Amino acid sequence: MLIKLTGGKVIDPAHNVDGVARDIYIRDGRIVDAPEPGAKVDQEYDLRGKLVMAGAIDLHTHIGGGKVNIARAMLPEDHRPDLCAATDLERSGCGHAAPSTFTTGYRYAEMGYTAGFEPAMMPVNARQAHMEMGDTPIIDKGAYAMLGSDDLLLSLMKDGVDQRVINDYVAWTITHSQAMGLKVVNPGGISAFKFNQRKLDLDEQAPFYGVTPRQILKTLAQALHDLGVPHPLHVHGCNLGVPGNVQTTLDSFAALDGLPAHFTHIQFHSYGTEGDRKFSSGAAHIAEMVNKHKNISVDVGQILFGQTVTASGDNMSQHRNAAHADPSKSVIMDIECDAGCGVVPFRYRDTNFVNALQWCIGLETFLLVDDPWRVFLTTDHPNGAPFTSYPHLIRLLMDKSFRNEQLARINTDAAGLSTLGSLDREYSLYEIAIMTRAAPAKTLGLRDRGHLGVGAAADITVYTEDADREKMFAKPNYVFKDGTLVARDGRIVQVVWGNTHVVKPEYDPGIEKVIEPHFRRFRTQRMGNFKISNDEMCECGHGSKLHVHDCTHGRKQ
Amino acid sequence: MSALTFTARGMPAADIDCGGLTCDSLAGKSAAEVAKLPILVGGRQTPCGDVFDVSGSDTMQIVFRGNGATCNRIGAGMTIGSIRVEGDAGDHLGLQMKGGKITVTGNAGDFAACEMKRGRIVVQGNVGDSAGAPLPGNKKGMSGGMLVVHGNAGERLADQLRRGQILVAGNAGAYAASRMIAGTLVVLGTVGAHCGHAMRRGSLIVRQRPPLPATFADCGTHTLAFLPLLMASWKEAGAPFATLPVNPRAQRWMGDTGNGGKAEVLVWA
Amino acid sequence: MSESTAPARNMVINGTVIDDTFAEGFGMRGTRVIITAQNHRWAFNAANAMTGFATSVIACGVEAGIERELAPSETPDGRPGYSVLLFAAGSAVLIKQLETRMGQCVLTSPTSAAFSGIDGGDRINLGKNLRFFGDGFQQSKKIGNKRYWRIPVMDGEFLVEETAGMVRAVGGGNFLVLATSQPEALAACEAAIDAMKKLPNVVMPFPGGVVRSGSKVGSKYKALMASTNDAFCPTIRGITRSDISPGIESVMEIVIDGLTEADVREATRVGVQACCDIGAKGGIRRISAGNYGGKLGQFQFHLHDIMGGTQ
Repeated sequence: MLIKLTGGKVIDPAHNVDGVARDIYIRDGRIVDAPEPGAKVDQEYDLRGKLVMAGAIDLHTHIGGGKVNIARAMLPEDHRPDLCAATDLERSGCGHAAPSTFTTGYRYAEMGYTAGFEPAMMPVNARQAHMEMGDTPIIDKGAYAMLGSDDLLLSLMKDGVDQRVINDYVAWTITHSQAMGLKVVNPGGISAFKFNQRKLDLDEQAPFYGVTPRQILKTLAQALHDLGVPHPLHVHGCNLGVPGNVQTTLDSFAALDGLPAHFTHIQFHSYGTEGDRKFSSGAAHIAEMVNKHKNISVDVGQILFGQTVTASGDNMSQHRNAAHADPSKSVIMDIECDAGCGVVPFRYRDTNFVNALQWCIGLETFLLVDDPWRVFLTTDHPNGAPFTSYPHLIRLLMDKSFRNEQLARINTDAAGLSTLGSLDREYSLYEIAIMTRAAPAKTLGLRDRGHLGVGAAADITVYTEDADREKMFAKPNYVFKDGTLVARDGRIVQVVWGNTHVVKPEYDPGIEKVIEPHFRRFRTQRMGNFKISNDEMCECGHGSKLHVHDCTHGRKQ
Repeated sequence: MSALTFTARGMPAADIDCGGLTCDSLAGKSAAEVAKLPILVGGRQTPCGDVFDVSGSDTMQIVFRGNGATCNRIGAGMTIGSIRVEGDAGDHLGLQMKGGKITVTGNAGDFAACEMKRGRIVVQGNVGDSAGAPLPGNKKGMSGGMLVVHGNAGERLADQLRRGQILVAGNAGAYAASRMIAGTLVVLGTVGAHCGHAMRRGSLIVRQRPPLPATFADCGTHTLAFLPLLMASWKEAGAPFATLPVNPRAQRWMGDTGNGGKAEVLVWA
Repeated sequence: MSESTAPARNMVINGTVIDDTFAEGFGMRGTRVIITAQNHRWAFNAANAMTGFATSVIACGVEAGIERELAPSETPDGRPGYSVLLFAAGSAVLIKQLETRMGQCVLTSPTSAAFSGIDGGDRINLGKNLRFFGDGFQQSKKIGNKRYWRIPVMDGEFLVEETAGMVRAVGGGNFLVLATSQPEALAACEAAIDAMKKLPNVVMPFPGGVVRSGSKVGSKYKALMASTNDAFCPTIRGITRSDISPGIESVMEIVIDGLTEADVREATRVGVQACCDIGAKGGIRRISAGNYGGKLGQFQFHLHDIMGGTQ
């Protein structure tokens, strides 16, 4: 079947196309060349006057895995007021901050998003995470396996094994947990928490293992580089949320010795200690560092005011945050000595000095980082705000007067301390397309996503231009997923099942001689049961396809 | 003007959501208009007139008549007026009610007065489990007003009660006053096992010593000046509460020491 | 009082001359507290202590007194009690004095309990801060619209209502009793106080309700703001511009604070009438009143107006 999208203004940063009216042809879920004159077009959409972009990609959103389910279970008050009835197309669901899997997929697709990546998949929990994501319709999924506080890695580092052994362990873990990348969360800190430590600085030796977060960061970043995994180490650094952590973050940049890395939800890691309340913005320092180092990228983790729930592997910081839980309940847990998890419901208030300054810091970061290819639009869903608030965030970035209106409403002490009011930058549609489409696809190594060139998957979003960018981005006119029209004017019209993206870096199978005894001695499952097969992935994903991406990125050897 | 009356047409097998049929939401509507209103019956939108014969005109006085045990959420969120249930009421009677009065001549189901804020509910018969409790997962139960039960109450009566009074003339089931935050629960009959479990603050007032958990400590018998004041507020609840002899003497137990130990169980003759 | 005009018109009741003058009253803030106890003796002890050292706002912060004894049927908790009234020049002082006096005189007094005696008005703290004496063992009970605090103390539990009502009130009502002898002046004042104490909403804040040291504004000593009212001091009448007519040997004053202007008027009427009932035969020669020429106070209580109805 040949589909023609006629005359839309295409914004495709991957091909340096900014607002050029052209036709796009789709056949079998792919964008194809213009057919011979006279070829039969089965369906035509007249998009003259409309804007055409690739489907948006969220490279950091907590949509699967144990902690999301804990958040769902512990927050019935999040679900009751936000019920979605079943329709002929859609399954019923609920939830605002922690929506059910089906609702997550529908709402992403309605907003023109066609892919979302779960950033904190515990390898031991990978099966559960994939099953949840498998139940998330329409969008493509993928996950980053989480290492850095696991007993085996820390033991290997304690024993001083060769980097190649670590590389094999990392590659084995990514492969068999069916991951797309690797994330490190509070390196060594999750483990230190279980030794009753409540803070672990970059150069502090982790208890028992004696390795430092700096060594862990360096070792894992090196491993991914050596293995050629496209997305560099996804770093959730030390001291999240602690005033003064901007220095830790800058030191962590330096610790990588020039290796590439992605620093995630950087807003939570950009706090200074200036001012009467010993809490200030470090966004300018962070932005300066990012602007200077081309091998570093960040996503912001913007907070937006209102009720949400924070879910993180960083049990150390979540244990600290639990005192501020609203409603007052929280879960802080260990998972098989592999990592931890903390879920704390939270309400960000614009009248609260700290929250208001967090809001400013995130926006400052967006506006001060020059290169939109290296700063990604996230709220660290649901930690800063639910993903459904992205259109609002886009408006804040694109509309200075709207931003200043909001600034005038927040805690005046915080607004007074922030430079936000003096920042005149307004993001263009082209830059928004970069940070939500082209750039995430590029950093993740998704060669056929995030652009509209021939051969690309037909994940396409069509908008009607509107000066109110929030309105414009909330309800695109058309959303195509792999060539199928799935949403029209913000309503689901067809449900398809997206793909799962993984990488399978090469490793020496001999590493199993190290891994298997560890499973046998310490874990509740055997190594054979840990491994998730490709068939299992497709089965739990309603028959969705598994896309294995190349690992040749900057590869050594 | 006669009361707006909903008379059940036979016994519907499915649960009927009566949450929309309050004095607030029906103000200014005629019986014919009300009969056309869609309500959820067994989870499906159904005209109100299909399950009820609607008559009368005074929307400030609503009467439910007939087989009401499947009528859930009667008086949910109401702020004014009165609702009289002739017969039984279903679950979630007076859910999150903010004012007005509900009277039930029969029994009420589970979660009566759930998260109620103001107003008064009087049940002539029994109430089910979790009267005055919060919705599952929520942290605060009834936070004001008065629930009067002339019969017995089920389990977890006054669970996480936050404020207000619950008066029960009959017996209460297990876990009465569990996790209570504040407020007053009075039971004139017996109280079941594990009463006051994880009770934080507030008062459970009973006439005979209940089977208290070991985490309650005896503080002796005392003259408590607030008891006569409290009893004076029962005048509006009518007999048997209003006619009890005023007695400021009570044996005081404090607990649950496993959860702060600042709540009290008063045993008073 | 600084000035008093001589009688311009004649009003004579039972041989007692009523001066054509007025008492000058001031706007105040007032509150009523009901103090109960196991019996009247202990309720009185608390109430008396709480209203002690409260004769004049100049040095005491508040002017206060016991309004009346309450039967058990009249109190919120059904025990014997007293109602007390406290008046101050402004709300901040009243709030502070109420808290201090509640803490030192009522909380401490065996078997006491305290309640607001005024519904409505501006709500000021009665037991709200006293509760912290309970060190975390205090318990709150909200009954109807009122919140009570139960504070554990050594004799049992101190029950106190969270707030009391504060209303606008009137202070500085007064009249002077001019008599041919000191015993006669005092006897008339006693009779007046006995009659006035039966009235609601007023207190006479001086010891026993009577003050003998009326003052004028200012002094020859710079440090003093007020000094003896020489115009009414009989022992120096020959050398001052005296207001005392010949034959008068002693002057005493009764000061009245009340919740409303009408209450002060009625108290003045009843008090003056009681003095006049003794009349000239009992040595009561004149009734006068103190004022500042009408320049300072918002209220004027003209004796002729007030007594006109009973002439």
